[in-house]
Amino acid sequence: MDIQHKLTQFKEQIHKVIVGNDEVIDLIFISLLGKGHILFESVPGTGKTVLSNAIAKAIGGKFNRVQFSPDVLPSDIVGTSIFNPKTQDFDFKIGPVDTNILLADEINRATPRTQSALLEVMEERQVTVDGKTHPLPEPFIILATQNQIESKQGTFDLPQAQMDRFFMKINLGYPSVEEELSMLSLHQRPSTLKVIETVFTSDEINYLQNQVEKVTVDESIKKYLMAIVSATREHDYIDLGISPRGALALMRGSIGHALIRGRDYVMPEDVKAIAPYILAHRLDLSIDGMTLSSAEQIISDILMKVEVPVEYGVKRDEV
Amino acid sequence: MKFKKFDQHDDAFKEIKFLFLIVFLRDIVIDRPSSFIFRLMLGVCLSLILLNWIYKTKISDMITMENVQPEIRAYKGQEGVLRYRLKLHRWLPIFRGRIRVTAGRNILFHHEVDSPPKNLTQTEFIFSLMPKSEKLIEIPFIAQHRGISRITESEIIIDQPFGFGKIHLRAYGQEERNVLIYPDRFAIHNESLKDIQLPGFFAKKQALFKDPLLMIGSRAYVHGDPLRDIHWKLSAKTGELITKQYQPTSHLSVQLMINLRSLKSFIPPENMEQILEKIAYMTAIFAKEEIPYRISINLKTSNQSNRYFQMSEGSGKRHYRQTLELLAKLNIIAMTVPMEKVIADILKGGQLPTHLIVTGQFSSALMDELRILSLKGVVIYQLDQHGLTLFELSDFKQEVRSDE
Repeated sequence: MDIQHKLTQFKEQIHKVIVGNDEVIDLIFISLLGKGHILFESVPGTGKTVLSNAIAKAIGGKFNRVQFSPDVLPSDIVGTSIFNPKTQDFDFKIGPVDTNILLADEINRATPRTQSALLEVMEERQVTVDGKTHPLPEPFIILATQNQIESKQGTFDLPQAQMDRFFMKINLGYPSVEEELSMLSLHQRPSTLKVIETVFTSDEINYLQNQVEKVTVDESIKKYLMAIVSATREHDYIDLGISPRGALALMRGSIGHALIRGRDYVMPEDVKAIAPYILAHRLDLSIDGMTLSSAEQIISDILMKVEVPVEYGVKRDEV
Repeated sequence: MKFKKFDQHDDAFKEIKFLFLIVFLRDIVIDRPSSFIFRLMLGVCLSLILLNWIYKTKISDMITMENVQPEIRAYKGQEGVLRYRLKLHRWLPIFRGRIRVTAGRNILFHHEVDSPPKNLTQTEFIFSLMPKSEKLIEIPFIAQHRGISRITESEIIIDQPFGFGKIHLRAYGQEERNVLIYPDRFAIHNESLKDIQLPGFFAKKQALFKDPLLMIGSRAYVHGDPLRDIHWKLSAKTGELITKQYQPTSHLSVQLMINLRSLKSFIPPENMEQILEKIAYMTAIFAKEEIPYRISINLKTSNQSNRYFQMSEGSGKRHYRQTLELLAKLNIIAMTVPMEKVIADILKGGQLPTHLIVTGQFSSALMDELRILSLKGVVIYQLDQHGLTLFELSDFKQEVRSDE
């Protein structure tokens, strides 16, 4: 199966309802390859929910959606045991997490307690209730959306532990004028998600995800990747650097980037291209970091400073 | 990536064109052709001019400049760097080009040109770029005054490679970058605030209430636990009474009120900058301690009514960033509303802070309003250039009497 061909098909379907955002679709595809969950963040009205819906339709499989609010309880997400008078026993009824794609809309409106209920689900892809563990179907991807943190009213910031579990955070900015003009034309008549066709079967997704294991990551690339991760742990503007989970995510993301470029080996440019999306949301900035810089800026500075590995026999200036 | 195209303003060839005109007129007037050597020289000059013309027409499409940092921020007195990435896309090189950057006087470039434009700071940086290469240029500066320094112009000046003048390349439109300069929260005079332990001010959160939305665990029932806290489901499962435990919460919030009006005139009080620096320092402590705070400034925001500026309550580092941005952008010479009006609004609003910090001097009308707040249990402080002063109820009575 040709990955690039699948990506083109995936883009075609998403473009039926979303204009532009090619880079974003690439990133989503990389997340899909890396078995990662995605957090979309932007100001209201930039198409987070429509995009998430469109992705879910294009990926196929079972799709569930949860609209988070302060009164959503953990049991509303993972499920609960209900007393069955016929059997005189408690029956476990699994919640909306029993799906392939879970759209967690406005996740930061849920209380920390409910947000925490997603931790095990996201990392281990299973649910444990009353001491019993229930595995979730494969593939399992959470597409979460949240409005920018600036809109404080009635929201709870996601804890750092949960941010770390998101493979990447994608900021959907405002579209360009040209894109917005195309959007106006596209949506002149009411558009519907029904026009989106499924691009993948579950087997195809599993096949694509298995391709990641076959990509070569040279030792020098791994060292480069770790140098970036270490730099985040020693930076003055960062209180809490990248975790080992983050390092793994960076490698998986770099592999995904190499794959969609048609390569079966990772290059430093793959790491550089994907690092801001995978690392920025995992940083806990210090007060100075927060006031004088930003997570994206710090990652960009680190990428600029960390020495890039070069091939033997190639002059550094030529890279 | 945002790239900027460059416009060009040519001042080259004026001398050569003038020379050509002289020679042409001389040949016509004297009616005698020039010597071979003279013609050769002219031919060489013409070729150079042609090459220069090609270089000049191509160079503006070949070079792009990218602002590496979209946001530049610094505390007053801190050093910072403007970063540009210059990229040459084709095969013509640039030798000894100069990038000239002009910015507002709130910052000062390290290597300033001899006579910068009035109220602006200007610097030049020399660079060379090989074909199809890029270079990161760093221009150091020091943040001088609180405020916003706009990068007004970025210009590239390139010597013509074959002599005869320079090419000026200017960015299309206006530079979109600003340098935001925060008040100096590290100022020495802020040291005075370090030793002050005002009652309740830096207190840790007290468990006055519990948040029923935030259940943090459960424990065995102890006699006296409220019935509503019993975890019935868990109790049924375990066969013993279990009590839910909730996250303890506290109500501790600070309101900062910045008075931009003097006691006897409408001008801002003296040492306003120092007061703002103290606010920057104090709010940093609030941010670290996660103490929620809000800010009101008696800055008139509408011409038609007594509306004033308010920043809503928040806590943590992100809120502190917004606070510093506000303090950096605050223009202290502005239309104001009476401070009493702001206090009266707090009284009307209902949600009183636990602590109120008011800057500047207190008028008798303001004292009356503050007295009511004090009677309602709000702890009031005055902030001036000397530091924080706690106001007791007795202080209000004395002050009002002495004022009368």
